[in-house]
Amino acid sequence: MAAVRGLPEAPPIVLDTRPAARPKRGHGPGGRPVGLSILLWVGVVAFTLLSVFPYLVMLSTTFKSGQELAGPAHWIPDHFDLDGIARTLSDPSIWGYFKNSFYIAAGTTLVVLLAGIPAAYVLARHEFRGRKLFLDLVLITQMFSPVVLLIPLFRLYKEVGLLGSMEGVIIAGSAFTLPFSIWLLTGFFRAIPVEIEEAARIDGYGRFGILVRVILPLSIPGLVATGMYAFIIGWNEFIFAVTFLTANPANQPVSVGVFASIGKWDIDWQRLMFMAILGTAPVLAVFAAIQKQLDRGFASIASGR
Amino acid sequence: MASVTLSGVRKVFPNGFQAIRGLDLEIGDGEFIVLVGPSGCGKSTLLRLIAGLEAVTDGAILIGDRDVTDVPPSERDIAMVFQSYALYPHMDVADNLSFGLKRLRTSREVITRKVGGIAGALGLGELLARRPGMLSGGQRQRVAIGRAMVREPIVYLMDEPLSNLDAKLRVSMRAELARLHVRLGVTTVYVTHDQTEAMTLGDRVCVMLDGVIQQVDSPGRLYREPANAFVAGFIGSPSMNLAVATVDGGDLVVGAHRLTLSEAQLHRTGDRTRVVVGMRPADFGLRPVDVQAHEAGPDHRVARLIVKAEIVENLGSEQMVVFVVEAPRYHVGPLAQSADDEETLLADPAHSRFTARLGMRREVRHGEAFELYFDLDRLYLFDADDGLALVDPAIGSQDLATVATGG
Repeated sequence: MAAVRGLPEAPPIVLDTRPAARPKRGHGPGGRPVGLSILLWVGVVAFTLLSVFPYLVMLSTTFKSGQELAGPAHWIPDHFDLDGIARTLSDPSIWGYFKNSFYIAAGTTLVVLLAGIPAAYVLARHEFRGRKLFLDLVLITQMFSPVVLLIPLFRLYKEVGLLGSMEGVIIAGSAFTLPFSIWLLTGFFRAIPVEIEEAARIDGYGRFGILVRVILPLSIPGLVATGMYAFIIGWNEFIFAVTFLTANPANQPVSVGVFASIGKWDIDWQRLMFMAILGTAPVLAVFAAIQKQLDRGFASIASGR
Repeated sequence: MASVTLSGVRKVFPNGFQAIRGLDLEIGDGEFIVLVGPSGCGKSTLLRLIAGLEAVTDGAILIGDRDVTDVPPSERDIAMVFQSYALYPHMDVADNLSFGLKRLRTSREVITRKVGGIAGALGLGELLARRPGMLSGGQRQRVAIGRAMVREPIVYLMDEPLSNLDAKLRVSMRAELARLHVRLGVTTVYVTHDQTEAMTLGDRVCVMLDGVIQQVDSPGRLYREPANAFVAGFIGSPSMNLAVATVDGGDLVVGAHRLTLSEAQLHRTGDRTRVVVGMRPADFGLRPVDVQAHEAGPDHRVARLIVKAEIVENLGSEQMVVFVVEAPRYHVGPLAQSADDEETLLADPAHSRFTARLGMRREVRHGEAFELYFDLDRLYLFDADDGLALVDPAIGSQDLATVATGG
């Protein structure tokens, strides 16, 4: 074959007819050493068992009678005792707990989205001095333990009359849910090309119009993820609820209801565990639904913005 | 339709970067002007200033007789086509086209009529119910142009609208844009870094570098009469060969080659001993007759150079021959990053690589020493320090054109 004029002669093309390369000795098909693969699998299985363990305990205990529970610990119940379930379901007050949990979770979601969307939009789209520092400060608030603020908040709530109200729990819970939500939303908003907003500006829309008609419709996956995250946190709310709602059992959520199974003299383990299963089921379902979006949010935090 | 006037426009970004440094430009009513230059030259910033997407630091922008310097984009009566098209991904084509009209509270019948008309004209009729994600690159491009047209603006602003298309589609869309401009006759400001687009589309081309206009002229004049070495090197493909040469008596010494300057050329060099010489690749020939202009008189001067072909690129209808000239390379700043990367990679500062664009009368072989002819009246001369074209102060720039074209 003649070389292309003026260019160095190209090396001849040789067809490689050897069989495809096998993984190196001691390496798996993914190219990872077999030893490391085994180690990873052992780690994953151990971590999964650790995470699932409480649920297995909850499930196992729900079906064990008081007598059996008093005996030596074992996984599979000798006979499946459904008394605890019947006893819990026949108690009309548990539906009140669920209603309250839903109210607190939905309220937290609403407050977080209403406050978080404008905050995140500004942080995503406006370059201002100290923007990065502000974002970091927002996240630092997440590091405060709510317990530290319980007593001051208790006194404050007593002053303003929020003690015993679910709204008080929503406000306190939202304050602790907002920082991460703002980060999540900022990441989602920043992913939208700025030219789309500019096109809308030329089309005659102002900041609010662009937010409502362009940004929010394009961020629905992000809004759903953030909303569900806030919902989970609101649903799981315990420390504020148990502190602020002690005086008003009618407003207590499921988390406090589970806690109420622990009596002064005895503990109704079957009821406690069944309530715990009922209480965590919605959270599990929601978490499974938004896991991917949450991963994206964490990734945006890990990458620095 | 309207003219666009920029006077004393300056743009400094908050980080202190001066993107536009005091710029004056008059764009005529119905004119198609192309802003061209290497990355970071300020062409896109200038377009965004006209659009109102960026605020000017100093100066004024007039559209028609109206000062729009502080007017928001939507009230400037402009439409913009973005490089990324910037279509609304959550809306179908019909909604993309009508989004701006809805804001203006246009009646439903008018919207339907206008959108239908545009869709018909751009061949989007079948696609009205589709979302941008379901369209090809060319179709998205049409929707973006349609969205601009539906506003019936008095000025179109286009920011590299063809750069996301594949090469073949780009050529056909370029022709369509040209036809569209002829049909609509609306003032258009078009940004590109592709000089072929600039030369083929623009009534006038504005070459920019570092936030400063280098030259605004018709494509033909830009090619024939570059105002400075940057423009000379930027316009034309392959780009003009530039090297530092010395003036010795009546001769111009370019490495090992002595080129006899005419009386007029010598006059233009003044008392300089160093100049930058420019030779267009297309002005070389394999025979003296190849480089003679039709109107050349009996005193026509042709230089004969013996050179050695370093690289030969055979394009079928013509061949690009690269040869080394032992004269210092002339640096045209950011040009190195743009068009001819290959040439830049090969070059070292002490040597220049010249390209000759030759016919296929005889195939030049790699490594071959051969005779090359050049019409001496087509030499370009620039100041070695500021790069400005050397013009006879007594005759003016008009004459440069005559000399350069060999007349």
